[in-house]
Amino acid sequence: MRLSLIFAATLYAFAPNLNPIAWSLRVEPTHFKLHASIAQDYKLFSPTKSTPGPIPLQIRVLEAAWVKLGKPVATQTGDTLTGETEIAIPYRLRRKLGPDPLTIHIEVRYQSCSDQICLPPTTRTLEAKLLPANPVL
Amino acid sequence: MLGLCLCSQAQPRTPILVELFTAEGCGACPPADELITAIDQIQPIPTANLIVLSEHVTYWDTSSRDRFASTALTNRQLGYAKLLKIEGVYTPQLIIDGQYECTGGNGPEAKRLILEALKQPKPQMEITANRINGKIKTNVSFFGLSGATVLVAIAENLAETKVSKGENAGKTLKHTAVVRALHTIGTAEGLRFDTTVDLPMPPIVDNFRVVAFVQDSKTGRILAVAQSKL
Repeated sequence: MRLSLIFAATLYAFAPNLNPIAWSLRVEPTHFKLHASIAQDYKLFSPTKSTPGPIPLQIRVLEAAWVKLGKPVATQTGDTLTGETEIAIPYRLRRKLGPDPLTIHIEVRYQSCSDQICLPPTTRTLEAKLLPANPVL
Repeated sequence: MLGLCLCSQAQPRTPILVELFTAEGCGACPPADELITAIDQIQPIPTANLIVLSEHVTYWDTSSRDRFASTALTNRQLGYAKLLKIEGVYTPQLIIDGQYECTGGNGPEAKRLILEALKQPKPQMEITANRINGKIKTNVSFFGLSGATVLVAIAENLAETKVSKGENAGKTLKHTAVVRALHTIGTAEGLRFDTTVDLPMPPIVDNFRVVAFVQDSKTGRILAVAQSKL
């Protein structure tokens, strides 16, 4: 590397975004819809990523005694997800609910990168309410 | 004549510790590895003696293990995040003299921060290191800095890995001054610190350097640094 190039100007932003993904969750009759808003220039590794390397998006429900999750399907294909993306996760209740809604917690664990930085595995927990009308196994 | 003589004298260089937190599993890291290699070899700032260390962290060991990574180095980076009040850790990250940080491939910002660090005077530090009977006999001495922690890193000068899995699969990564062991050898007390230690030889052949530095454990600031290449 030539001397003049070592500290050459680049397009780097000075302060890295260490929290580049905003999550939200909504409940539909047969699916959870997980929405990821991924900051510009960042990528999230897809739950269906087949190649070794950074961990793919992992999704689990903390109330596994009540809810069974199916295989997640992202609206985008490929090993990485960018921009606004939605992941549908089919679910079934393992038993009939009582009269009150059930609060459940979906945990996502993931790694993300931009061209300039990569972040370590991160875990976030999202909350949703299931209604007695939701389908039972 | 006098003026000419003064001009022809080499400018004294202030030692600055440049730590790169990196990982072989991190796709964004190779440009930072190249930057740190260039900084080490070219020494591009005339008033600075840039002493570099590549510190491999473990949190990218998801599909294959980075043979240079250690929990101790991951914890060192986490410690910096706390001291420098950074939201979290990431790779590649440069820490300049324990005081300033920027993304590892960001040359212009690294230069700005090195120039900032150069404003702080540093006392002179002496280091000698020799291989004796499978150990590295290291002597470190300096005046003052009472209360600060004295550390010694043993680092492989140049290391190369052909990566088979993950984001860097297929690439041959070249690393400079890869930390293979980091020892705390004492705390500065009184007027002068002068200590000799026999450090165990890490599993490297003969291509290494010994870097000693004095760090303020409350602020993370590097108060003195010196290296000996063997």
